[in-house]
Amino acid sequence: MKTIKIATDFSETPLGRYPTDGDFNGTRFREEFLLPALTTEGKVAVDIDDVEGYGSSFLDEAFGGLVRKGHFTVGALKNKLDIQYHRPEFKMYRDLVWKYIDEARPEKGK
Amino acid sequence: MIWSVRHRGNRWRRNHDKRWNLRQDRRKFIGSSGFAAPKIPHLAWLARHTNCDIKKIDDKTVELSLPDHLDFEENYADTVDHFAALRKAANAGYRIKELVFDNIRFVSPAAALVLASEVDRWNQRIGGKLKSYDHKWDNDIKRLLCGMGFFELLNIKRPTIPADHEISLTFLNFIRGTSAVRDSGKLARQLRMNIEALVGAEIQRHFLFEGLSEAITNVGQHAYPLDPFDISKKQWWLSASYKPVDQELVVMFYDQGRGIPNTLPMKWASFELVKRLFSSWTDSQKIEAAMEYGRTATKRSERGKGLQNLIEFAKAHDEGKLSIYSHFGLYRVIWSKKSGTKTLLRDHEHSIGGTLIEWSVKL
Repeated sequence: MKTIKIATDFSETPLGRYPTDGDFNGTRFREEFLLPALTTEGKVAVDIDDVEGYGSSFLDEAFGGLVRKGHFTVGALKNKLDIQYHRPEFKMYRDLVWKYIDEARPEKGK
Repeated sequence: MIWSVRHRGNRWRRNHDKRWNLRQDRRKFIGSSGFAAPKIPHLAWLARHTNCDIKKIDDKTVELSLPDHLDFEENYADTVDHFAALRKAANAGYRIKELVFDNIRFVSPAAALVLASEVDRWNQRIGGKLKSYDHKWDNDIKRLLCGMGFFELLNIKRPTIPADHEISLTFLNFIRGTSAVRDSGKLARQLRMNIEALVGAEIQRHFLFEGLSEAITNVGQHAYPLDPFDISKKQWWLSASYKPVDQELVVMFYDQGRGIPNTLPMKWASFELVKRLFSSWTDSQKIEAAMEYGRTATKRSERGKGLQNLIEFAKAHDEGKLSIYSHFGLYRVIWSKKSGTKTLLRDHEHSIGGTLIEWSVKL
């Protein structure tokens, strides 16, 4: 199982949805880190600890975007993706990730 | 014949250029204010429409005196009028000889940040430093504005503050960001670290970052029009203040964009359309609607989850308050662990000239 730690592998201050929002946006994390790992590895753990915080835009685009862009179904992600945290204050972000994945619907034509 | 065509062409081009320049002047001058203005703003017009004390020095130079209370809570109209005058004078190309702070006896943190943004914008637009002289300033005001970085903005030497001077309120140096900054998150983290150094304790960093990151994202996505002539360059300003006696921390974020009410989409098959058609949907109600989960200006299903994040920092404390001033409206949520949530809506006659988000919490 591959583990991606957002704070060390990506950024301690992830922010925004699209590349226009900055270099450490949700689209970039999804396309350059999450998607390659999910397509080549059986299971992927994402460690969400030790960052400054997460805005909804980043989490929704990075994780909900996997379903919207037609890369995975919600069911497939439940089997492949493990969101990990150790500090209790990050539990709410784990819950938000799954909320956004559950709410996402594939875009037309995806 | 050839000469004639060429001559007409040149004349047409000259007229076209003239019309184009006039149109651009008008666009720049009207900006995001709530009312139209003459193409060339006369000083009398400026004074009449902003109720400000503007003294004419010569044809293109004025002196602007600020009021004794700069505060959106107690003196909203007067405060906003003076900021509007500063912005309009800058847009019209007036050189302000001096910005007079002598009368100021109270300045709220939020008003200080918006004033800093206007002075900063003036400096960028006119291409020089706006002048002011601190010899008659109130000592408290001098110390507060020094903390926010006004002395650098106004090209004045930083004053020496007596060591025994009682400190009732401290401002943090303002941070300016633009959508061109590739790692705005670092600026938000810098503010958090500055706040922690000021208050001497850790704060609810995750909730603060959530709110700031969504405010910054909102500026990049919605706040500013796609106008190549707009010099505002999707800028935002950020600062904080701390009052040790009350242990009250205030964090402020301001942008000079179109405002949330002007970027809110209508739900076409709803009563909102009728309300907007009859102009009975106020700006404060539009801000409230924007706080609904899933409402977005981009008409994309995934958007519209961000503005709700703003309230979380206030709710992470025993007592907290979130105020969003945008265009003519004020939307405020007051949170208390004892009594829960109260919402307040208010509308003003004058626009704040953008969006001001203010978090106020008891540490």
